[in-house]
Parts: sequence; C-alpha cells; structure tokens
Amino acid sequence: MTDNSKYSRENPFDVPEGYFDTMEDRIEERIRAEENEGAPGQKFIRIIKPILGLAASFALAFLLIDYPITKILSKYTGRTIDQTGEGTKLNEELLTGYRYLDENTFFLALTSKEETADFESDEILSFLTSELDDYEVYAEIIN
Amino acid sequence: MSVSKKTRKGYMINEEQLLSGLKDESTKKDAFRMLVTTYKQRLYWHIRKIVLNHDDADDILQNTFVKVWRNIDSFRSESGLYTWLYRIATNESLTFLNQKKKKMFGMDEEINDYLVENIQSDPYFNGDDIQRKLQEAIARLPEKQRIVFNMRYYDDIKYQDMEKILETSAGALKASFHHAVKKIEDYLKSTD
Repeated sequence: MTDNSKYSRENPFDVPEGYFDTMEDRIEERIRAEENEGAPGQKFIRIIKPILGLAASFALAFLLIDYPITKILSKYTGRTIDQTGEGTKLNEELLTGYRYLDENTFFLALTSKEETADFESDEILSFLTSELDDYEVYAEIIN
Repeated sequence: MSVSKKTRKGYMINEEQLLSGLKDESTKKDAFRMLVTTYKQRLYWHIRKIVLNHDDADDILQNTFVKVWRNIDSFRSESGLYTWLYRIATNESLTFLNQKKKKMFGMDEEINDYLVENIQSDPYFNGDDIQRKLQEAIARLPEKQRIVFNMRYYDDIKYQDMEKILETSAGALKASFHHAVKKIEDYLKSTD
C-alpha cells in the first residue's frame, strides 16, 4: 500500500472480556446437548410427535365439525344416519358386484342382444287391463 | 498468524500429538479440548474478519468446532490439521454470508454495505479513524479478494498454505491479493 506506516497491521477489533476463557466449556456443552438431542429414543419421539399432534387435531376437527353437521343435515332431509349408511352400503354392493365380473363376462353382456319376446296384441291388452275393473275398462274405451 | 519456521515447527509437533490423541477414544475428549485451546483465537479472528460481527463470528466458530468433532474420525492426516480447520472455518463463514445474501435478494453490493455497517456499528471496534477507513475499504472488496487480503496482510499466511485452505492456485491467490491492494489504494485515495 502507499503509506504502510499510516495503516498499521494491528488488529483493530476486540472481543467481550473473558470471551476466550470459557470457549472450551461452551463448545463441550453444545456438543453434549446435540448428542443428547440426537439419542435414538428421543430422536424417534421428536419425529413422531408432530405426526401424532396432526392426527389428533384431525380427529378433533372431525368430531367438532363433521359429526354435528351430519346430525343437523339428517334432521332436514328426514334421513337418519343409519339410513344414509344403508344407502352407502347398497352402492358399495352394486359396485362390488360389478367389480367381480370378469372381463369376458362383461364384454359378452355388452355385445349380446337382449332376447325380446313377441307378444300378441291381445296379451298386451289383457296385461294392461288386468288391474282395472269392468267400469274402468268401459270408461277407457268410451274416451 | 505467525508462521515463522520455529512456530510452524511447533504447530507440527502439536498437530501430531493432537491427532494421535483424537484418534484414540480414551483420549479423544481431552485432545479435542486441547485442539480448541490451540486454535480458538486464530480461527475466531479469521472468521471475524470475514463476517465482521462478534456474535456471528461466535456462532460460526462454535459450528466449526462442532463440525470438527463430528468429522474428526474421517479426517485424513495428509491434508494437515491446521489447513483442514481453516478450510472448515472459511466454508462456514462463506455459507453464513451466502445465506445473508439470499435474504438480501442476492445482491453483492448489499452484502458489502451490510459488512460496512457492521464495522460502523461494532461496539468492539477499538481502532482509530484511519483503521476504520482501511477496514471499510477491505469490506468493499469482492469476497475472495477480501479473504486473501486478510490472510496475507493480517495473518501473514503463506500462499502455499492458502492454496490448501482455499483450494486455489498460488498464482490466482497472488493476483487476488494484487487486485485487492489496488482497490484499497483507490478507495483510500478517493476518500482522502
């Protein structure tokens, strides 16, 4: 540099009093603390703790929100929780039945022509009028 | 750092003793304590001149020694304990500054301003105005030039040792030092 005498090489910085005296103890303390923190049992607890906490809050939220809402809604729709459950059960059964069809059976069911029976007009008429009494049949004919 | 032949020879003897102590489980703790006692001041000042703040330097120094403790078993003696310690301390300091830089949106100028502010507000700065100006000039240097300048000018570390610590060729280190001196001179002239 241009004027070396002006800019001394002396260190212009300082440290708090006694700073270096306790350095060894502080470092040993920190290492000990980190090793304790890293012990296998404690490490497992440390990992599992937030997961358990999260699961517990979800369960609580379910109890506090979902259950009362379902209860209130069931009153308005006139369906009990059990009935809703039955509906779900029925849907599941239908889906399961469909799932158990193998590929060939399913394909056959799609491509096969439905057997249609040929009915005579008299048969159709007798079917349609089977639940009507004579007066109603007469009224239908007049109209 | 004084690296006279006599002192350097002294370090070598200590290094050998320390290393054999550190490799033996029964003496590891005592040897590590001795290592901290031997290198704490030199490493502290090396770190302090990079980050220019006592509290940050204290954190980084502790991180450095914790890292040394964790990795001492995998240390290979051929690289030299003293250069290995300096390399860890330098890397820890640069990691700290890079984290600061990220928080400042990666601007080099802003990290230099932060370092200058550290000098201006440092309660442990005992120098006069001329020394403060010199420190500000050093703080405005690019990272690598600043480290090389401090190691050469204040710690008197040889280029051959610096090569191992900074993993840079002696030629590049000399060029960095030369550029640093030139920039400091220009800054001091401009602020006179």
